[in-house]
Amino acid sequence: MLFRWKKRSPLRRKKTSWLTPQLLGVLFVILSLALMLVFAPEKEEYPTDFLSRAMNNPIAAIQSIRNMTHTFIRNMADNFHAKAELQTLRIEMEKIQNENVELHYKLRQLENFREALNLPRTESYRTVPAIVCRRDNRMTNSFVIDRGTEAGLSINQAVMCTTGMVGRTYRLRPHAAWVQLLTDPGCTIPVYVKDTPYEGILRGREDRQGLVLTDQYLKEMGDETRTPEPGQAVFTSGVDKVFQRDLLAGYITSGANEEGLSVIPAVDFDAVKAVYVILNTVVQEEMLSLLIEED
Amino acid sequence: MISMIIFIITFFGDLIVRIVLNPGAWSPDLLLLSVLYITLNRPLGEAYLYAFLAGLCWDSVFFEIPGTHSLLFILAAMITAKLRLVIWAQFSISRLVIGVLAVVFVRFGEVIFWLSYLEYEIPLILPYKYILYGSIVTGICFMIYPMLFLPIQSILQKNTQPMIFLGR
Repeated sequence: MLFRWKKRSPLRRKKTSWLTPQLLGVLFVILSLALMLVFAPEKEEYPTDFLSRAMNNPIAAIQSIRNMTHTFIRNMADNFHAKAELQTLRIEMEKIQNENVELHYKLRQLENFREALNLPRTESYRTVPAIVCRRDNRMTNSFVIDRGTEAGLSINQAVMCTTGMVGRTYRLRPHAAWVQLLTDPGCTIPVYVKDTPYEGILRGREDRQGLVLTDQYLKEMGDETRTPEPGQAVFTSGVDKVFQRDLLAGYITSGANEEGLSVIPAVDFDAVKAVYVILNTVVQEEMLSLLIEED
Repeated sequence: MISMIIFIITFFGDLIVRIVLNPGAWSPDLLLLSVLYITLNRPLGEAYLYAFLAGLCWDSVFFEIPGTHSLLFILAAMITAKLRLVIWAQFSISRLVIGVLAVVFVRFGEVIFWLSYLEYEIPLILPYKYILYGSIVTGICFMIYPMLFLPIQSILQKNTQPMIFLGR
């Protein structure tokens, strides 16, 4: 018989040992842990009983891993929070910057008002106080003031400030007026030099950096030897029947040359914040007097 | 007997390398290499016993807390025993992978234990260098390590009686 079924006896079992390599490995691991727990360094805060130490020492290793993970997650969360906080701070900074700009604008306005309150009050002629809104130096050296025809302004009226003459009105709107400064080459004013017989026309230099006294001539005052010297004041002469006499225009800075006498304005145009406009011109006064006489 | 010879050679070799040459973080874990070698070539029970004794000797010599390296070496041997089911260790690249993984595990465990025992002085400044450099060096050493025998292919022996202290 080539093949015979051979039954395996149920009593004949395969011999297996209870000591498997895996069990041996686990036993060695437990032994190592026990050694570690027994020889672990003593800490005062640690309890002395074996069970608590067995709990504490492995937990120390786990705690360090947990702390590292916690620190990592906390850093990531802090990063996100920092981004959101940065965005909030940027928005707040933008708000504060806008408020700063507004406050600066209000401060400038208040300074203008304060300077306007300190303007001199003359009883000889009517004046209108005004505040400089902005500077317009595109075509001419000029200011824009906040008073116009509604306040009684007209063209060619003298504009003054506390230190001297600023210019004249040359363009009008109901609530605004353009003031042509003395330094503009198109602005010509008849003037005289104080304590000298010299008179002439004061106009702005071509480079718009100062004034020049041109077309000088000697007035018959008897003493012809008195020539203009640096530092002497220049006043309006009122010859043109437009501006009043004796309005301070500037000071002579140097002697005569080919162009004329160099004059520095009496007013620092960059610092002017408030001005006053003299309403009545010489011609108007004369016309008024004539009308009164006719009546 | 083979395990004893390997243990004596690698143990003292490792001591010489660490104490005499003193390469710092670049020092290879030769004792761990021997544990891996025996795990790949010898029965598991022998490997676990060898790992336990080698770790205990190591802790005794370097005044570590007894049981620290024993635990780490046994766990490394267990990991290697699992790895040899899927990675055939007769190839150099396989041994490189096994060596790097085992050394990273052991050194990371060392660092964790050192950090957990806060009363001890930590014997290194940059733990990541200690882990990285050591794993590279040891992996390369294990890669060029001569395999005298064909490693045990436990896939083929899955249904057979597992060996503990028996010979091949």
